[in-house]
Amino acid sequence: MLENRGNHTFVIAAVSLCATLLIVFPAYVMLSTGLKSSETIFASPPQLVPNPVVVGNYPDVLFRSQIGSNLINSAILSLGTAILVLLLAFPAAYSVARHRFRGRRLFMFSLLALQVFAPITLIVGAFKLMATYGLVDSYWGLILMDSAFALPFGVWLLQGYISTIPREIEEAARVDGASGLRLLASVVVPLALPGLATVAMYGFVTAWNEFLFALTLIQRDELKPVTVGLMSFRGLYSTRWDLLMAGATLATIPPLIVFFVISRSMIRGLTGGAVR
Amino acid sequence: MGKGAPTSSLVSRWWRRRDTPMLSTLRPWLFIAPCALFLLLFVGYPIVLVFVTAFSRVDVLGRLHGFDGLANFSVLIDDRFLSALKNSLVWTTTAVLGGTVLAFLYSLVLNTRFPGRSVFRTLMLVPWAMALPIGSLVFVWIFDDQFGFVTAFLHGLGIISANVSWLGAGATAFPVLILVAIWASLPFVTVVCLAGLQTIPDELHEAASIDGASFAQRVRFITLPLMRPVLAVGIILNIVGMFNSFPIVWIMTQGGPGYATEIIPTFIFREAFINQDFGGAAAVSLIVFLFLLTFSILYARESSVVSDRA
Repeated sequence: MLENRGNHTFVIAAVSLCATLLIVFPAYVMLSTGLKSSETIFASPPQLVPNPVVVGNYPDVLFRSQIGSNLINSAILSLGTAILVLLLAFPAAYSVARHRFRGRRLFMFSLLALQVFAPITLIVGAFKLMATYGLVDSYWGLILMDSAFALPFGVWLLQGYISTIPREIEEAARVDGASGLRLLASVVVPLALPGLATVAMYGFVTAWNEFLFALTLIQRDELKPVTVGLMSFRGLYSTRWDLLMAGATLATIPPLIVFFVISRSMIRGLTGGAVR
Repeated sequence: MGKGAPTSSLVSRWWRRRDTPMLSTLRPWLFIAPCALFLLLFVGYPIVLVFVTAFSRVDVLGRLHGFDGLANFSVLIDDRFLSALKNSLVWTTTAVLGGTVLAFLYSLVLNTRFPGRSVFRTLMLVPWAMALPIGSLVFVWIFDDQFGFVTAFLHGLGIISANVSWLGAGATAFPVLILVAIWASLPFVTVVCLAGLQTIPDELHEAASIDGASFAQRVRFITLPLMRPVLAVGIILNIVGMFNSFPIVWIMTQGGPGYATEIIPTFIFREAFINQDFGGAAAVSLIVFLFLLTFSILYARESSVVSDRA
């Protein structure tokens, strides 16, 4: 929409380069600080490029600190959430995408409205609920809450995906004698696989990056996921930013990869299909 | 798979009985039931518990001892709450305004065709992909008063002569936190703006250019009005997200120094889990809940406008 002739293109490219560099800068600081030594982090002025490059921070933080087990906890929680969200979202999304029934609009409207509620509004109630059933300091409590918050958008995403699958394929299979659960398992699931994968990964990222539930529902150090674990690490070793940033880098890699895999479909779901 | 085990054929026989009207209305609901029940149990029920707690006498362990009228709501006239509320309003408005303006300009740039554009469009998503607690930690280091990049950079430019304790003083800590909030929300708002821009046909701009409209005029009279529906959804979501944002403040300043950077979410957390005043925390949550309910209905309405258009 801006004219792209000669100089203009150059200026625009330069502006977006600067803006993007600023946006990515914190991620770069995290990566580069994780590669500095415990002395060079205090260099003045700070080194933009680590010299020497210290790779040893990674094994140190993985095997000689709590962060290693925090990462494993995060993986368990995130996989658990991914699976639970998938199991709950698929039937609901299929039903909403394929059937017109009374209450459908209400259900969809509620899903949308729910996306506005943040953990902080119901943390008191959630904590009370989990405390009553002994689910504080348990993976389950956290998986359940994280799933509840990933679910509305998950269903929304998945029903959008399923409605793009031509109905005729299912009808053809039905004519051929497949029906009910067979039809779901052998026709719908394979066709919806990319959508299902997206929803599972969305659950994964949501749980991995979540903070408030993790902070309140998990109190024992050995059960903490890595977002909270890094915060405790900082409390213990306030000057070891080399190790802390190495840990932060490790904690960023899994959700980053997953996020970029699903970003396209996520954005499409968020913007109601306006971005293609 | 063969012809299926007896149990599954029973299920599918039941499934095929599409003749009874009762069943055909129930079937979609059976599929939705697990999801709906789950949400009722883990979102709906906690909200009910917040309601009940807000009107109950609560001990430090969080146990309820009967109806207590509006006693818990006395926290709403507490100075700490009022200052948190004021901070939350400043935080939300500045971060949303700043973020929207920056994201809009950025999206105009990214919507232009130039070499490498798709790389930038991908890279700018990085803050969104990073966990906010981790991003916040990184910013603590970037704004370190002695060894951080910001201090070194401003020192090098001669703007500051001594080290500034960015997060140690309310006057600097709050703007820094807002900056981080803008950084964190920028990808989302930019994506929303880009979505809006893509709904506008190029012909409109071409026609307006031929008629002699300047770039600014085209933005004002074509881009902004046509982007309104998409932008409205993005802004509503951003307001809500910003108002509820907890990790940035909690990790970078814990609401300090003093209570200078306390916002409503950190206030609720502190009341409940540090001061062990579950009643007060629930009372504040309830107010926030009602506030969000308005936005939530607004959002659901606006976004159904958008998806109907798409």
